Amino acid sequence: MPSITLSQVEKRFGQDVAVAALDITIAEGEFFSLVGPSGCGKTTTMRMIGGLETPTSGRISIGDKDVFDAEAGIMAPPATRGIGMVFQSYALWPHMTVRANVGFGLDVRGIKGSEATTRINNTLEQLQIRHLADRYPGELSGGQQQRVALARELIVGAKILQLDEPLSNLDAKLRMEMRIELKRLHAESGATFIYVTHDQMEALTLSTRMAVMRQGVVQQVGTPREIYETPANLFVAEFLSINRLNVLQGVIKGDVVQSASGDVPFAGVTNAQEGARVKVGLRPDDLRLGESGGIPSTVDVSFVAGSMTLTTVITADGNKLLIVEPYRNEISAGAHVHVLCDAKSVLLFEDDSELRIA
Amino acid sequence: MNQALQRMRQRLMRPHIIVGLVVLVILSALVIVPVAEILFESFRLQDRDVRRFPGAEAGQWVLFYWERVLASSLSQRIFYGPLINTMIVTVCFTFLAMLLGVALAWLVARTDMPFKALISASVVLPYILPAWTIALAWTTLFRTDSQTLGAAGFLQTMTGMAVPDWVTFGLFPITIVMVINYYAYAFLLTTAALSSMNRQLEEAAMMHGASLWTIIRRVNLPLVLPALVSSFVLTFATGLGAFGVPYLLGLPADVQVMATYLYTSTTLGRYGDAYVLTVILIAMAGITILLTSRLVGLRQSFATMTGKAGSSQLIPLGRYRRVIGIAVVTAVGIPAFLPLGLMALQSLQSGIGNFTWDGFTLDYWIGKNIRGFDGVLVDSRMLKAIWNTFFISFVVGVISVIAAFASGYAVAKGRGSRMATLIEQVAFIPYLVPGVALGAVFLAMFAAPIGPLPSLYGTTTLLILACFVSQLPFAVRSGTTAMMQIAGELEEAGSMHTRSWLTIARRILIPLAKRGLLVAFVLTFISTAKELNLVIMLVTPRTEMLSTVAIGFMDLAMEQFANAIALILVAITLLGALVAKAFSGDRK
Ligand SMILES: Nc1ncnc2c1ncn2[C@@H]1O[C@H](COP(=O)(O)OP(=O)(O)OP(=O)(O)O)[C@@H](O)[C@H]1O
Ligand SMILES: [Mg+2]
Repeated sequence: MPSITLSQVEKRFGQDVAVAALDITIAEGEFFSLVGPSGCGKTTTMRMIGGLETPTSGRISIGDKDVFDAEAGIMAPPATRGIGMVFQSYALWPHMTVRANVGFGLDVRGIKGSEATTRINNTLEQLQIRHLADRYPGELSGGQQQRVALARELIVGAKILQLDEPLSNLDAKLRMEMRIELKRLHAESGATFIYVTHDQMEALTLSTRMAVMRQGVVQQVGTPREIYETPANLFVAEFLSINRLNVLQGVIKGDVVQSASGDVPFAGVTNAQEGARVKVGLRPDDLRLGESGGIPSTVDVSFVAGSMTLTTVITADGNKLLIVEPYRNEISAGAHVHVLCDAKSVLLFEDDSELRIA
Repeated sequence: MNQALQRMRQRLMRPHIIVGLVVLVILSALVIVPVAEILFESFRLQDRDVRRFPGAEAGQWVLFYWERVLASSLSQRIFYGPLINTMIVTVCFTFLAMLLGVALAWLVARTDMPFKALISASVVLPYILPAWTIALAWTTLFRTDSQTLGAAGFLQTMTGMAVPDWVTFGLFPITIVMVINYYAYAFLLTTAALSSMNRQLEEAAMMHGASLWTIIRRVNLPLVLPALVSSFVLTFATGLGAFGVPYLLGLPADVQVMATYLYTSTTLGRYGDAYVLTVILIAMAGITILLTSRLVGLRQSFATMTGKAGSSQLIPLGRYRRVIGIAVVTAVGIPAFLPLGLMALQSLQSGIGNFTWDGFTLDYWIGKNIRGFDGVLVDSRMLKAIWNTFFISFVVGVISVIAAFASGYAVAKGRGSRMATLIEQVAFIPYLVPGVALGAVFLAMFAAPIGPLPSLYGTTTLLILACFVSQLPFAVRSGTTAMMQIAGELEEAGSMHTRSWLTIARRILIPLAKRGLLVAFVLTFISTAKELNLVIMLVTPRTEMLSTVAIGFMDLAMEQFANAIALILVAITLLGALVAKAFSGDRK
């Protein structure tokens, strides 16, 4: 059964390295996300798995079959890889009705007549677009087009489904609904989903595992929880932080980091060397404001956003910190406060390499 | 080693690479090889001149033809005279056509002048008609009883006024008629550019405090510049290669341009001279275009010809709005529609000129045995020409569409790759080659058998090949436009389901490109049907087309027939243009 293995897969466009020496294994039935900032190589990776792009070097296998091997000169055509692909533009064929779009895969596989009709109807039903069957793609809303694109790939029973930023064209509310829908489809179909997004919330909520990429290089692979709680480096921590990560510079002294803003306690770190220079990552939602202790600062702005209160403060040495707390009354600007943090939630990174100190 | 081969194979076995290679091979065989061939031939001794050089053999390298054309007692007649005439016509014609075209475009696109639709139609109509038909109408209108045929033209018959000879025949009428025929280039391209230029671009510059002059220089000009360059290149190249109009309006006054002299050389059997002239003509067109694009710093600004009057903020013309409108409509309407009336009138008159009520006759349409010919609708030779025209144009249309699809796919899919660029460049070459010169090229190339291929001289195949090559620039361009949006994710989505590229082509690519390809078919069909410059070099009595038959009747002083045929061609081209418009209109 199809697990997907990429080993040392690299893709260059001329001199530019789009994806560098990628090693990823995706197990059967996973919901695997590729995340990272724009241009980091997510789409290229997905297209290489799908067979739409030829890697410059490396090997890709699906199940026990090599679909690409630069050394051996193997390059299996896309249609033989058993992969369904939902393009970011949806790529619905504008000259075919919804029914014809969805039925295309069956048709070219020689499945016709009543069996095809039944399967098309069932799939349309499953995605709740049966009533749109005779429309053309141009007559559908973004969300509906998205469902048709999904139906077109699901109907042939693809065991692997790749989706390239499928929700990025939808409005916030519809995105939420489609997320739930995708999760449901994943469970129902039992297929392996490979999902590209640059929305970290989407990846964190949907994935069973995910890979964070940066400029063609994978930074970390793991479950959302692992990656969120133990980011491999400062980049990953910053990328996954839901609100902007606060970063301070300092030196390790005993069980605190001394920084120009004040001392920050840390815990659970065994290999911290006394006197080592470090970067401290403080997640805004892990910080609290108090009367004493912690980092003394002055309130810059404070406002309520729904069930949260966001406050920015300025420390003694001029650093700006963001604090996100459950609802509380706004604090007037200029007030003196102390920023408190839980030692266990503090992230420490080596100063130069920005790797997390484990 | 084996693996390297494997990888090589893998790289080459992708559909767009295969299609692209096939396209390139065919393009090279039909474009590069013939052009190179004619360059060689201009340096080689032709059969009929062998006896001039005792002991020489045909095919031997000689400078004889270049010397004769450029530096002999005949040079004035063969080369310098026609060259000067060509330059005068081309420069004046280009200048006037650009001036008129751009001025009209500005009025239509940026002012609130009335009758815009009628004006646009009047500018475009002469462009759709075969170029020489207006020349035909010109002679019908202006000839006087003191000239060759001794017949008075329409103007003299009606008013008794005889225009001076230089108005009827010579450089002046050639230039004016060419302007009427082709000022549509500048008009259409500039209108499109001007309408796409919306007021907000200017306002944005104004907000930054730019002066009016700065706005014109930095915003307006760069936006219309590509259109101006394209229309200049199109107009200039057309001027250099013009044949039909100078043939009808120049020869009676013994005025030769290069294209007509090239034709004369071949009818005299002086192929060597013809090849030299061809090389020079191609070089002149090529150098002008290269220089222009260098000078302006634009490489690929040869936009396709589409245009629609916009409706953004219009400049009010105030009180004179209607007056200006009526004046412009009259000025562009008369040269557009009057020729059609004159052609009809002449085709219905028993005598040339001398228009009289008694002279009306249908003989030239449906009569029997008028100086050995029957009316155009019943004569067997004419029906053969009509059939040839349809057949050749149809086949050229079909293969052009296939070429458009294949090359468009290879170019769109290989965006930016070396092969895509090469295809575009090679396909652009015929555009530099004036029609008569292209005819000469094909004559040189295919008159003799090539290897196992028999001689194509006198076959419709030769005409089809040559016309196809002349349509290549347009075909490749329209194919690329049509395929650009399709050959991407829409195709890839199909390739996830089936390995067969043919299935993808049949089910996805072709249906999506259908409309664009249909329009390309109709346009190549009509432009082949009205083709004269190229085919006149290649036709034989068995392969006559309508336009060459018409010119033949002019030579026999049977202008009624020529006018009747011209009207048939007009009907065909107008019908085609309407069909193309209907297809290219509203898209789903
Ligand atoms: N066909 C191509 N030719 C040249 N460079 C390319 C091509 N396709 C992608 N690239 C380059 O490869 C890099 C990775 O591109 P890719 O499309 O995979 O990014 P991405 O992570 O999907 O970004 P986004 O989130 O913006 O979609 C980019 O720097 C891009 O410019
Ligand atoms: Mg992408």
